[in-house]
Amino acid sequence: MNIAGLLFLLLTQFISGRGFVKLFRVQLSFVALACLSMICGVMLVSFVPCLLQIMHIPLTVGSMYVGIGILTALLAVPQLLKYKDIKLPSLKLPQLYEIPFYLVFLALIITSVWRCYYFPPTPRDVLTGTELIAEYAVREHTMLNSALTVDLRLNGAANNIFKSPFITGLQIVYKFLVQPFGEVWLSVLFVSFTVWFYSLLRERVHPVIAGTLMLILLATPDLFAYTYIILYDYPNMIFFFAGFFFFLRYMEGEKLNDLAMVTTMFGFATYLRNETLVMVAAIALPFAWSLYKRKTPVKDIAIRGLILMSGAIFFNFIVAKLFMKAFIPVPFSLGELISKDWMNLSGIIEKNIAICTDLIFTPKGMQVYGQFFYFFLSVFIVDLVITRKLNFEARWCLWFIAIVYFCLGTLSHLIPSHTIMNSAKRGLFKILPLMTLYLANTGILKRLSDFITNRENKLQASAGQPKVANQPAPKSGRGKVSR
Amino acid sequence: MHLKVNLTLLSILIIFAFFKLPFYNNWMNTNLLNPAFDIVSLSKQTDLEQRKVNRYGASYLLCKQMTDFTRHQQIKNPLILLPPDGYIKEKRIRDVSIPEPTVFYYMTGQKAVWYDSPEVMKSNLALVVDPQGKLSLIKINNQQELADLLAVYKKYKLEL
Repeated sequence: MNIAGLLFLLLTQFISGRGFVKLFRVQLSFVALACLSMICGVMLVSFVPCLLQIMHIPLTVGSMYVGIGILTALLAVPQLLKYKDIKLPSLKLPQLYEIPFYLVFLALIITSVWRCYYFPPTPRDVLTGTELIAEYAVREHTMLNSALTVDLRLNGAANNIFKSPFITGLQIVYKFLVQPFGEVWLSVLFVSFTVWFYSLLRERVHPVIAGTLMLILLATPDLFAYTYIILYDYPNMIFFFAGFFFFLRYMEGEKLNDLAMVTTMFGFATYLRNETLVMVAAIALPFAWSLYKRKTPVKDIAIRGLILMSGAIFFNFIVAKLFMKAFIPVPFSLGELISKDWMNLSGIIEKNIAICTDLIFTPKGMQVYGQFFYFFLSVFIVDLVITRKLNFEARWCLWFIAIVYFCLGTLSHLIPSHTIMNSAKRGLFKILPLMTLYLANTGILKRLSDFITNRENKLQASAGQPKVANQPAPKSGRGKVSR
Repeated sequence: MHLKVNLTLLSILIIFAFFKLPFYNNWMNTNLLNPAFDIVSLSKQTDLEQRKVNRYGASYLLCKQMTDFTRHQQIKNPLILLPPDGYIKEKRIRDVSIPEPTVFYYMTGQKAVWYDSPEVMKSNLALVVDPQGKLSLIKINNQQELADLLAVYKKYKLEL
């Protein structure tokens, strides 16, 4: 493995990602900013091989270094202009009771990173599509290479070459600069997301509860497997969640820069999986309704709705119109994929039921999701019976969970190749962090968290020590409770 | 301090109880602690080819043997006719699955076809099960031999 190449990529991804996030002028905690910068940096670097290809520059180690270097230099400008704003974070040591969870997370991270590094790409979806193109792009220095001369129409392989160039781009970069199997970019995304998501949970509930919730999420068998098996679904989940995170911020403060981040993150998610476009369109409905209830003028609702959807539409256009036409010499017809029975609306209900009966609550579902859904439902029902309250975040989590679920069922009805046992199965990854965040907002876990924190604070106050600051009081909106 | 120690013990108890749940205990033993994924032993096998063999298994070895054969025999423009998986299974070969032509190209850099490929009539090699029940790569000497093979392979559905 080329350690220097990996360090170069980590540094450039961080700088370019940070510059990119800085453009939106969103205020974030240090951990959130650092992790989001890394996540966005990975996305930005994935565009480099495509841009080089469009400019007819041969794909080589040198052109990768130069291309990524230029991208980073351009995106570093916003940071250099405001270099005085750069503050070093105050380092806070973890509490003693967090360390057992940290050790388990570390063990899981090491396991995932090692497997990601060690084993070559496996899924058929990438071997017959993006990885195949990337491998020959490295050998032949062009994305329009001999991989496209193989008989690609066999058994649906043609669909795989039409998938987003996100993985192709990253595989080319990492194969050139890090190791022949590429792949390590997935570990960068995984670690960044895990750290960020844990910090979000920790802001909402006591670290012992946050650690437990994080453990349940991380130990979801298929979700964990896709932290080291390259495919679109795990990165798609990350960007979809990032969009949701900024969506919550926008609904709280109605700042346009948060809305710009929402549309960008949903755009990135759509770039990875086109089906996200349908979900963003569905999200626009409760979004518009919520603004209407706040007595926002209809014209403003329409404009904001358009902004919300613009990122997803733009990136769908990039993949469907520009990428496919410029890079894939095989015709693609969406019409051929649509079911002839698409008008049969009872089919939508059947597919939505089938997600539960054929997948989630079956032995197969147990292999895929472990007992995650059972944990969720147990807490959900108990909370419904005992507290019967939903706070701002919990309500939106439930909206998004319902939207993702319903859209996956609907897509499985409309597009037969969007199977429940494959596409919907992995598409459901998107609801797992939403469910976990919901759990962190449930009344019973909040009460338990408050109980532990209060006891801790009392004991520390009696001992003359400062208060435990692991759980800031809910900000406006988040703390509001609606029945 | 007393409460912190108690909370630390609680954290350990939660983790212990979680991995004692039958499902997660099984997942930990069969996945996380699976000897096939053991980091210490795998770190002694860092050669790229070995890593591919460890992941792709017998299918990859079969592909490599086929390409070694074509190189050794100095066959120009080799195009290998791959059998359907049903044919292989019927011949009681169960420890290996035949990759599809795209995956074969990814693994070896050589082109292969299935019986329904537009280029199938150009194939000059074929993977067959010999009378001893072993997989072997044979040269296709004429169109009649190819037609006979295709007639056999077409009885089986192409499946992945």
